[in-house]
Amino acid sequence: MSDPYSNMKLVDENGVRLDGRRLDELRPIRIEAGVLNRADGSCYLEWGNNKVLVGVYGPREVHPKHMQNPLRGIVQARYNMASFSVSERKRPGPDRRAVEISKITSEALEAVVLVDQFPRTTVDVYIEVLEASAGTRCAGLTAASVALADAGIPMKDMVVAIASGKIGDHLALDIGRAEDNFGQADVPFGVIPRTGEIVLLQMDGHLTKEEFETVIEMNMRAAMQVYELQKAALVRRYSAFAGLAPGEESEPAAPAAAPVATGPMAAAPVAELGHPEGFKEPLAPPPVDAKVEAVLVEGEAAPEVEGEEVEEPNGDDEASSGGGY
Amino acid sequence: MPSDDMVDLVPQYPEAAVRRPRGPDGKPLPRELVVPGQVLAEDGNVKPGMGAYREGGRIVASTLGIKNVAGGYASVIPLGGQYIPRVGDVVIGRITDIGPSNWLVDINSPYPAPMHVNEVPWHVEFGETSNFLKPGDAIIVKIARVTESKRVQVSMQGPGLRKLQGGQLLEVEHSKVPRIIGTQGSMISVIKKYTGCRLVVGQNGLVWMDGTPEDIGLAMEAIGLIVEGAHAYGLTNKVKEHLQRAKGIDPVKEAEEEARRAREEQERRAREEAERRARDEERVRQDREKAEQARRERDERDARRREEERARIERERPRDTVEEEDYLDKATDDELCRDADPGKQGLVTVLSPDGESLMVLDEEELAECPPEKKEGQGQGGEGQEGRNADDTQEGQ
Repeated sequence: MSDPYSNMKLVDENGVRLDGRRLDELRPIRIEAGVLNRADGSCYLEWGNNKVLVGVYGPREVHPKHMQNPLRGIVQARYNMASFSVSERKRPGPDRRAVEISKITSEALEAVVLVDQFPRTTVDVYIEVLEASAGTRCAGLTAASVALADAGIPMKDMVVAIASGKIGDHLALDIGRAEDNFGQADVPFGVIPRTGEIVLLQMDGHLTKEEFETVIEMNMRAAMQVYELQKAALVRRYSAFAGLAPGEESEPAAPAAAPVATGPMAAAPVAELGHPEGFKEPLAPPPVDAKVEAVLVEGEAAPEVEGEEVEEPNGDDEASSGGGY
Repeated sequence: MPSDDMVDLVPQYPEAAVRRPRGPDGKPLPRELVVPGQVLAEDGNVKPGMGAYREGGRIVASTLGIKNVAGGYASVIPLGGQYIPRVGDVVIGRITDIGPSNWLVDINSPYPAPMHVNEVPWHVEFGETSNFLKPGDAIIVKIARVTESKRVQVSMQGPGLRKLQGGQLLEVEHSKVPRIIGTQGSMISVIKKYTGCRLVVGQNGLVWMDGTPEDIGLAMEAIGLIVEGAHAYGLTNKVKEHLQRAKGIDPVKEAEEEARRAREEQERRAREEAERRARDEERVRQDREKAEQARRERDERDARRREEERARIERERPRDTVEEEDYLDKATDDELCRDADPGKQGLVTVLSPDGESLMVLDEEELAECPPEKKEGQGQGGEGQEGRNADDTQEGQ
């Protein structure tokens, strides 16, 4: 074969991938809401080596005026890759790919934002990819829905996007960079996890019908995990608002996650969601591997440190809220 | 001049929206933060309120905020977001543009709000708009109309709506406005009391204040405290303490002073109340006496009138009836006949034999009439023959 990479081994005999993940394992994800003071809503997301920053403005007046819709609002997302986001400098400015991604992202978000509540307006979503490592459109969409919620924009639900595919004849969740470049298929997929409503679906490469269905199934399941992280990020950002009265704030029994651990969030391990650094470790996949366990133990062993670290972002939150986020 | 008191202008928010729910042990329950897509209620009877929508039998949050399920509604108290105008809201606007018959007002919302010359308290000629309001002027307006496609119109006609002269504007999140006003305007009155500032809070999150520069700074500080700690309980006291510290007021002395003043006020009120009551009682007594007097007079008059009436009836009635009866009893037929028409000489009125009708005959007729034919003759003069003739014809 002429393809120099044809004998590249993306998955080894034990079903372990190049970055040490299993086939059904996500890359580590970290989400932080409300990171920008000047935007109405914002979100910073790290997904593996992807780094994405999203700012949301609106609802606000549409310019140019002819784009106004008198019956409902519109969502205008702009996906942009920083020139330094890839190893070879990317020529700045929108290209065909960015325009396409902006369009599908806008459409995916318009499906969840309750646009009929604010006719003649636009919600502007600026997705800046600071570092790209496969799956940036999914990372961008996932971050954008957190930023929209952070902006207080009425929406049906939040969207999670994730891209799975086929690498080395194996179906794999959350395709990484090498897997994207040298794999056989890639299926970016956006969904409302609670209802299963699909808002984005693309495919690059070839899959059989059965393979496709399996990939969708994998995406669906993983989306639920990411969804919990999104909610946890918002809860962490705003936990002060649901917090306790001034006198009770210093009580040791007031970790940020405690007053809001309800519904599905209650099931999530506190070390992962409540600890500011906790989301850096990969999500515990079944079975739990040694690395994750180590981090869990570390988190439990140092509760004082955790307490201090929890308090600080809360203080920041309160201070920054005065600035009119 | 209308009062600056925004408490009069701003609709009060239901207290339940900010009052902390308490558990069965009396301890305050932690407020629950919800994110879009989170289920608020599964009960089919609950209705979706602000920041929520219905999905099948469930109520789901549509905005980030604090869960609030009460009174048959599941809603979310928002933590942010843009101000969406609602009819009746009193907001602070800034003039951004002028037309010949209208101004464009920025009300800090996604929608610009035109204000027509008919909606201002002045008479404005066409093209004279800029003599009244110029770009940059701040005004208190009320949302007059909002159409389905969110076309907004504002009005400056109403109590307290006016152009704001001088002062400073501060922009806060509109979701914090209920806290700045406080329950029954408690927070705003604290700020006014200690800073001496004139203060107006618009529902759209714009706050106007006027006073000395120091006082404005202090008021801004206080509002900053509120915005920062909008989620906290006991905020009014916190702000009060802060302002007292800043103004160098001893809270204990002040409390004593206030208590003294309150006592005096109470005494004064009690005194006034007593006086008023005494006056009222006196008036009631007088009224009652007057009414009694009137009633007595009326009764007397009525009794007198009744007496007179009775006397009159007594006087008139018995004589008439007795005389008539006597006369009829005693009179003979002839006498009756004669009396029936005493004025007519030569005519005799006779009772018909059946005693029912009277016949009037002159004396000649009477003489011609044989006694047994009196009836037939009595039927009457000239018509008699004709009628007989008819009878004959019929008979034939």
